[in-house]
Formats: sequence, C-alpha cells, structure tokens
Amino acid sequence: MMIMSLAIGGISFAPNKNKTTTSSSSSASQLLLHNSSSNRLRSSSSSVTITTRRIRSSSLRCFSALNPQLKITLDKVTTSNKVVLFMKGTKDFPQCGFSNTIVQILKSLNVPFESVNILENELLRQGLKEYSSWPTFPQLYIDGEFFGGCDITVEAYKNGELQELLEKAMCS
Amino acid sequence: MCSSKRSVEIIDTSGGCGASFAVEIVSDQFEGKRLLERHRMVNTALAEEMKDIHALSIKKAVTPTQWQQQQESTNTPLTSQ
Repeated sequence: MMIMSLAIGGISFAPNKNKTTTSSSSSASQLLLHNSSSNRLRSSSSSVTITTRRIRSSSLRCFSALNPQLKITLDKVTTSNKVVLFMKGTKDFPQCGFSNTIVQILKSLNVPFESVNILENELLRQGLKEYSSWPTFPQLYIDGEFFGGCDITVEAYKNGELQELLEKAMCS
Repeated sequence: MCSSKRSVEIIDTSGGCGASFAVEIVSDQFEGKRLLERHRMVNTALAEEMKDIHALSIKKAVTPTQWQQQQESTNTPLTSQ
C-alpha cells in the first residue's frame, strides 16, 4: 500500500497509467458492435426492460450517450420502482465488490429492489453516468432520486439515514 | 474547488496498477453541503483523472470542524506508515 501526499490547492493527481489505459477506439468499436442490432437488457426481475436504439456511427464522434429516449426510459425505471440499483452484475451474482456491498446492505435491510446490470449494455452504462452526473457504478436510486454510490450508501447505512429514507420510501 | 482545501490524503488501493484509490478530504468548502454534493465536488474536480481510474473510493469528505470532532473521538491515527 502506497501513500502519496499531495500539494494543498487544487487536487492534482497522477495515477500510474501503465496498465490501465483503454484506447478510445476500442470502446467506440465496442459501441458499434453493441448497437448493430437492437440492444435489449433485462434486469433480474422481468418488469424492467431497457431498450436502446441503434445510433448512427457518424454521431459517435461527439455523441452524448444519453439520448432523449434513454432518458425517458431511465425516468420510467427509476420512478416506477422504489429502489433501483444500477450495478455491475446482478443482485444474485454481483461482479464488483462495490456493487456487492450495496446489494448486501439492501438485502440485510429486507428491502425489495430492482437491479439493472450495466455491464450488459454499454450505451446504458455511458448514458447513466450522464443521467446521474455520477462517474462510477454502482448507482442507487431511491424514490426516483439518485441517492449515491457505494461510499455514500455505506455511510448512510452506518448512521441510520439510509434506513430512515428507505422506510419513508416504502410507506409512500 | 481549490484554494481553501485543508488536507487531502490519497491511498493507492490498486495493488500497483494505479487505477484504484481511496481518498480522504478535509475542506471548509464542504461546509453546509450534503454528502452527495461533497462527493460530486470531488468527482468534478477529478473528472479528467476519472477516465483512467477504475475505482475511486471517497472514504471521508468532511469539514475541518467535523475532522476535529472525529480526531477527538478516536485516539488512534487513521493511517500509519
């Protein structure tokens, strides 16, 4: 474990990029691949189906992943379920430790929730980052509103705020 | 998010690849802001870097006052080298 000290001021940050750089061209081709046919994603329960439309390759250049239709779909998904977790993997098979943490918290509180696997749909994954103005996953929605990622959820769970909010959401 | 930052601690949790970090931030700019807003401030400040970071865990985003209180309630140091 390495500890880096930083100059006080703006946050300047220089992670070692050696092994982590993903080229933008590969992600672009991935997108094309995903969108060459109608892309359908199912959450663990059958009630949530997210369909993203095919996008033209010419719009890839400076495109926003959050197209109007996806936005409408996300509005619908987040408001028609009290608790929605956009995560890596499914609630029965989380594929990321942070996602798993929230799943375990929600399960321990006996909260019924929808989970949507963002790994199955690249356009959804990118679009959600814009939709929530949040760069990472998992993303937890409660009562139609973005609640937070893993750190915020853990903190709120520890101080009881999460339980309070969930109770309110379940009664509303 | 700049001049009034008090303290930032960054821990590389990636095990060497440099793509996973945990941060603890004390700033008076967090004053009067909810945790979600505080995290958004950090995310915004790190927007460029986030493209290359796989995981960023914001362990703490507290005001100097909160920091003081936390220091007093725990005698053990947060990190040691």
